[in-house]
Amino acid sequence: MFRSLFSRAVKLVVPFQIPTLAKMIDDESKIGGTLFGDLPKGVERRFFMDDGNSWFFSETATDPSTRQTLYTYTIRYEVLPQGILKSVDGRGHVFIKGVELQRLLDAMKLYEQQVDKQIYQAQTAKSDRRSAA
Amino acid sequence: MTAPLQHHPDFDPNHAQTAEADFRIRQQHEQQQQAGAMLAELSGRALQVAADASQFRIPGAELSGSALQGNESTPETMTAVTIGDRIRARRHAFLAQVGEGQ
Repeated sequence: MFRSLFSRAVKLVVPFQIPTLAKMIDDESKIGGTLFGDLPKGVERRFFMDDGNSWFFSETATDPSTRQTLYTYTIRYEVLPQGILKSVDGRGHVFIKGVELQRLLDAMKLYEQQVDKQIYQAQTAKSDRRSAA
Repeated sequence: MTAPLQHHPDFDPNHAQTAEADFRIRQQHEQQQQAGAMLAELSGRALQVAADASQFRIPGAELSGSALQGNESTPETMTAVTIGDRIRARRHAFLAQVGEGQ
């Protein structure tokens, strides 16, 4: 009961935080990370577009018992006029093609749909309710 | 001709090592501060990832895009650009609507 009263009080005291672009992209990246299926315990995945022309896929695995990082890597896909340039941790730059290109485009489309549905439509509805109240 | 520093009678190798270590730590600290300042406005893992990845750019890669603007774009690139434009427009429209925070 105390906890419930406390959380109600916190909601009254803590003001509505206006989101920043950084926060929006961070929220998007979490949704993006869910588009590629289930993850084993201790693995964090993010997928997102920055505010320029690059997309990022990153994965970090942490040992749940020791909290030590087991591996981490970042794939950057840069959209350039002549194609989509891929690099892994800044190395091995190559224009992608075939299945990888098609899957990336599918992931981009899905990302747009899900981000729109889970963040922007939901937030807009919230703000509308807030301004109507 | 001046004698090399290590042959100077007042030369203290321990002190020199400490001074060098101090210098390295200070240099490292300054680099971290610069990186920290760059990231100060950014929050969250996503932008950290983007910032880390942008350290590994091909020199001139940014230019290659604009330099090749006249080149024909591939259909895949056009699709990716269109999706990107829509997402950016949605983000900025939303932030304009709510008034972007600090």
